Amino acid sequence: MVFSSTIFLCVYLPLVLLGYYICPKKGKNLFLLIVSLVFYAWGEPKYVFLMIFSILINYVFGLLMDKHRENKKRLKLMLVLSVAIDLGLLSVFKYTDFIITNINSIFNTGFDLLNIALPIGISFYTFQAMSYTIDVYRDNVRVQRNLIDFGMYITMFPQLIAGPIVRYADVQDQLAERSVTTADFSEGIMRFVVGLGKKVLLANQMGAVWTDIYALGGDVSALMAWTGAVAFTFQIYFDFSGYSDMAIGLGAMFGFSFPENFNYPYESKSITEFWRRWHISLGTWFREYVYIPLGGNRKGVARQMLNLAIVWFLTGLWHGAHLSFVMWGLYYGVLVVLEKILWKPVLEKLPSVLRHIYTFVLVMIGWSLFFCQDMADRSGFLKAMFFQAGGGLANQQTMYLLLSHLCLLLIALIGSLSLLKRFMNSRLFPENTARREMACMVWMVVLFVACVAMLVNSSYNPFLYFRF
Amino acid sequence: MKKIRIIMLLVFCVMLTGGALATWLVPDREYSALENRELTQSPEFSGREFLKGEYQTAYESYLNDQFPMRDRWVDVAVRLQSAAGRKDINDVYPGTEGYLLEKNEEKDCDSGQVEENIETLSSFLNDMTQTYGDKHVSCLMIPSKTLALSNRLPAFAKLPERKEIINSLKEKLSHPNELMDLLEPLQKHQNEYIYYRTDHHWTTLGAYYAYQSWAEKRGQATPRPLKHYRQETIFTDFYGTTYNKVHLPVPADEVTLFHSPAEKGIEVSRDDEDEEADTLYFPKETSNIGCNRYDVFLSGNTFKIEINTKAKTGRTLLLVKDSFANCFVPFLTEDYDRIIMIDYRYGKIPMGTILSEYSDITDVLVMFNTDKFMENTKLGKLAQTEKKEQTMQAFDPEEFLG
Repeated sequence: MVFSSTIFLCVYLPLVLLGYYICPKKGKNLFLLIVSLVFYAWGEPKYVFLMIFSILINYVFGLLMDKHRENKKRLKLMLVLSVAIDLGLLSVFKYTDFIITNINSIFNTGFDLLNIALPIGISFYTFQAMSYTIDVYRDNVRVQRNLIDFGMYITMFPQLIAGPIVRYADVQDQLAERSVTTADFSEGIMRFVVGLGKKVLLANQMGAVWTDIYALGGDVSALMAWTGAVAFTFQIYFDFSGYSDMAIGLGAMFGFSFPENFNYPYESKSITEFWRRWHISLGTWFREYVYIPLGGNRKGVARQMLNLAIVWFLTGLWHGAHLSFVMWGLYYGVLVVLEKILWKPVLEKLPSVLRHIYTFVLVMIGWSLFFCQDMADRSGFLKAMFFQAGGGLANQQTMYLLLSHLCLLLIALIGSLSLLKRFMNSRLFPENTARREMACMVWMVVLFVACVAMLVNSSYNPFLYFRF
Repeated sequence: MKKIRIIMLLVFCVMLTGGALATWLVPDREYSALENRELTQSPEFSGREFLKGEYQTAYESYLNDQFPMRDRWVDVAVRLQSAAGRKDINDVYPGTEGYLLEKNEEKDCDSGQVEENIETLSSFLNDMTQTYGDKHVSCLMIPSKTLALSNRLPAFAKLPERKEIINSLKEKLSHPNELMDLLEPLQKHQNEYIYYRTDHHWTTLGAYYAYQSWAEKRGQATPRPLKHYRQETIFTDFYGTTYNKVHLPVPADEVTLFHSPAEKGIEVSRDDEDEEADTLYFPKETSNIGCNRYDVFLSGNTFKIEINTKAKTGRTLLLVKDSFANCFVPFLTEDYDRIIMIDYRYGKIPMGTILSEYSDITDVLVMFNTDKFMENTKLGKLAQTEKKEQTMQAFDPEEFLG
């Protein structure tokens, strides 16, 4: 099931909210667990059992580790086993064909691809499960003896499908004890509707622009290529951050406080900063569970470089079982290293504007790796961006497309910057005033109505980050 | 201020519940007149369908189709996109003076099918030329509305390009003069009402100008002037296929009949009706809300329609067509004793069988709209021109299996 659909908005959510608030306190977690399983099963009727299996395994290993805490060797063995199973399942369902393809090209063999379907959300819930087991090993969290509470943690429908990756440590207290105030709930509503708007009104439209441009092939004009790059740059931001907003908003409606996942990343002034503002939960996860355990930057520069290479390789790989994703990860790895070692002094002296442009352009080029998976497509596209294809600066098609979508592109630009938020916070609508609350409510209703209209008008809009 | 928060909460809950209740309580519709299609009904639940994920897809499609006040919501969405400056909405350009122009992309065509159709058509025309002589065989290619009325497109919009079809066809014909591209003749009248604003069809006036060009070029008979026909505007509330895609507020279309003096004594028999009709027009059947007004001409399409006139010219015309010919027929009624109209989208009888059944055919006319021609997947039998009697119930596995 997808949040931006009539079935979610008109059937699932109303029923679930009603049921949750009717439910006695003791039953709320069980209720959430059940409805979340239904939510997942709706989209993955067969793989829901895989997720249940994963829950049981991690739950059991948590208990085992706690039991054998005194025996260091056994404790470590339990951890290794549980991580191996988690990663093993993830690899089988996500990376099998990737591995086969690579084996085929390295060893010149001809193994057939298995075409195993990728269960939705497996990258997210596997990482959440591992955050639990690893933290139990480290004695960072209390072991969870209640299977229902643990199950609910893994399956909670707000963040099940596309994040944020909620570390167990961050929510363990909220599993047993949480409450919802009207303030929380109304902020949750606002957050949810804003996220819905980002997805339906902006991301989908940007996606349509990109699809139109991509269909034109390689010999586009430079302006067209840049417009396309801008389109998918905005598409992926609004798609993913919109989803995170909806997840956080929904979580708030049930009394959960999830960590932020995006912080106006396109405002960053360096690539390093970008990665502190984009998909924050993933960066945090890799830092906590890979970079720091490997030694981080505490074992000398050479080791730090290696650690960074590993982390960025894995980051890329996490995004997809394809070489272009790995390249995308390494692209950022190289940039981050360069920024640390080489460019830092230069960057600090540059005026802000240039730093913004530098970051934004590099990010756009990075996304081209994401969106043009085919090598030929990508080089053709990049060439076009830099005037190397035959298209010239602009042509009739370019003008048509640009004029059609100019308004939308501007709205997207403003939406991706915190300018609007700061403007709203400043003088017109000071916090904690009736005026502000009214404005929020009106805006919420307008967005909601517009989204419903667009949803009814089109029927197909899967999330981009769905293949994770 | 806490009060306002509570109000927001309530408003949100009301919107959700309202949506839920409305979806549940509003009775299901079976058919959408405005969209001209059947609406998905509630799917049956079965464990197996659920496991395959098909129940879910069907249910969501059902929910979307049966969404309360769906048409109004689509309207809102269209206006939003329009306001955001989008120049084409749901693949339709809002052209000048209320003309809705479809955006048919080159990429939407299956080039294999197009090539096949070109082969089929050219093979058919060449066969007919051999049998009846090139002076008695013609093919009219009718341009799409967007191409013919390209002067009405929004700025910078890409012109659809269809010229290659014409050239490819001409290359394959033994007598390329048989093929007439109606683009130029129609473009001369671009600023007149030659296509419907809200439908992809041409108006009867557009058909008249086509007839005029055809008659002049082919020299078959001097074209009759416009005033030879008595015009009668039969409908003023026609909203056609293009409107169904995007409900932009444009003025409704008028459907005008061009009555020819030869209409009296006409007999029209359709292969799907037992009774003959004595008129080309069916206004009563098409005047209800939700009916496609364009069907007033000959009551819509079917595989074979036979028209017998009192023209007494000794000529019989085989007319291979799509729906555009339906309003063109009046201009033929004074030149042919009999007109046999064949539309391969609705039947599979090989052409050869028809040719043997009607051994008195003297002329052949093919009329296709280029877009429909490119999309047509059922033209195959047109090229099967070997005359053979249709034996009694001969079992043709191909016909059976389609």
